[in-house]
Amino acid sequence: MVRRRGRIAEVHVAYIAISAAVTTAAAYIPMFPVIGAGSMMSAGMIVVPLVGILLGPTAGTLAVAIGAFLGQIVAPYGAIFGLITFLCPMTNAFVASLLAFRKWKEGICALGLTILMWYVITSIKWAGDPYASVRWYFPFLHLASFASLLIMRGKIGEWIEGLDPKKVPIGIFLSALAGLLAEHMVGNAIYVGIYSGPARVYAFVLSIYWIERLLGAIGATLVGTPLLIALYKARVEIGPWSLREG
Amino acid sequence: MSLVHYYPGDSFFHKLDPRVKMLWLACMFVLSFIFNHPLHLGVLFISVLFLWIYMKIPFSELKLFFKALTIVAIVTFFFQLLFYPGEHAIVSFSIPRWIPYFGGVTAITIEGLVNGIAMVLRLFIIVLTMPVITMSTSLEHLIISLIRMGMPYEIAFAATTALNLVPVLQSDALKIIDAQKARAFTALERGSFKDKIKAYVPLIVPLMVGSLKKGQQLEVAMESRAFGAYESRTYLTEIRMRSIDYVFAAFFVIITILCLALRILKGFGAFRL
Repeated sequence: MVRRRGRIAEVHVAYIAISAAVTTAAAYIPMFPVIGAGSMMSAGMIVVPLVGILLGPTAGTLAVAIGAFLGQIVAPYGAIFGLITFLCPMTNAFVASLLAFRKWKEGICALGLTILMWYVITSIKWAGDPYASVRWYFPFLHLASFASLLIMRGKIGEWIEGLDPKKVPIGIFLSALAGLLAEHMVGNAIYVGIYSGPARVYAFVLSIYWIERLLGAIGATLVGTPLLIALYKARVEIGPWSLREG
Repeated sequence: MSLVHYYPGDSFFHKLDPRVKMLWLACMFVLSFIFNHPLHLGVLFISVLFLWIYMKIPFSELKLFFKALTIVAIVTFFFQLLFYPGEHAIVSFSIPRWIPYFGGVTAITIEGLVNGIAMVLRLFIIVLTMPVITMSTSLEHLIISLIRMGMPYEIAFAATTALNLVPVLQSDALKIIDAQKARAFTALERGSFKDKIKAYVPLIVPLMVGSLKKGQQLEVAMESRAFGAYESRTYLTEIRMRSIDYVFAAFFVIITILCLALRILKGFGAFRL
């Protein structure tokens, strides 16, 4: 296949640069506080899965990786995992984009791998911790999302691509939620791995995280539905209807 | 005003090749992960602070970091202090079980205290090491070093363009908010929680549509200048590794491998009672 110059996975570098800039800028728009952490969830939570949905698995993930990495450089005090902090939003965009672009098997595998990583790391780090059993039921929403993806399969991508105003929101919600949960799982696994987060903390986080992630997915749906329809009508050459092959 | 805080200088660390600095960053990350004894982590932390002072980075920058990390550090410390499983109690007490989350905690242990200090030190080491590189290396050199390490030029271009566009988009976001306020849209400030979530729609949708329209214009501008016409390209600035760069690269790698070997074989850097 001849590679078109100036493009990565059929997306022009200009769109990747702009989307990376939007990802970085959105991190400066605060939304709601993270209970117990003393920080704020930003609009990046909404923007990241949407960038993945618009640009696709390769270009979208790359745009978010660049944007998140630049965010670490611009505001390094927010990068509590150091250089690898950008892996979390990158995973979010990757999973959401795979589902939106009808690569549902890869999307499900990616989400499943993040859940597996959580179980492996917590089994190692929490050996001997009397509260370690929380690890089994902590990712209840992640497992529910995984199950829903197994049921929905390629329908999510069909709904997003079809641009039916009644079905697009469901597709965006499910793919954004899967992305946000994958990001959450990667972040928690890194936190337990690097900072030895004790098991008991997660009993506390358990009652909060599902609210944050659902709110993020709802926000992505509320923003993403009019956005996708507006971009289609504006004839911007991105989105699953434009970029998906075959 | 540049978003990236770069402080040019004449120090030895400023003059090191950016690739060696990134190697140093990776080694510091690995070392902070290998050690869990506060003494060893303390030495790493002091070495990072020493670099900050040696490179004459303004104290206001360091203060900003400490201010931003204070709450995370306190939360991390207390979680370890109260919840880290340990056997050697310093203080014994009993929190009634009916108290949510904290109920049933019966002691503060030495293991919890030490691990709390260690994790806070690790947090500061991990967060403070990256800015040492970005504040001592110009963005141009940083990008060129990534290209020399194999990153495609398209990605480097996207990164520098994105960095230049962030202030433009932030300004656009403020204009959109003002335009919405001029239309009596105040949900972002005064609405209920549900209204505030919905309020992001008229902010983010125009921002993203406008940005992607800019992307279309940028695409045309790039294509009209034959972007990507040549497989290889030259650069105005070049970076070259000097012999001292190789020496320091080898030094960082040897120290890291040595510490890793000592940790595995002799428990060097591990906290044990």
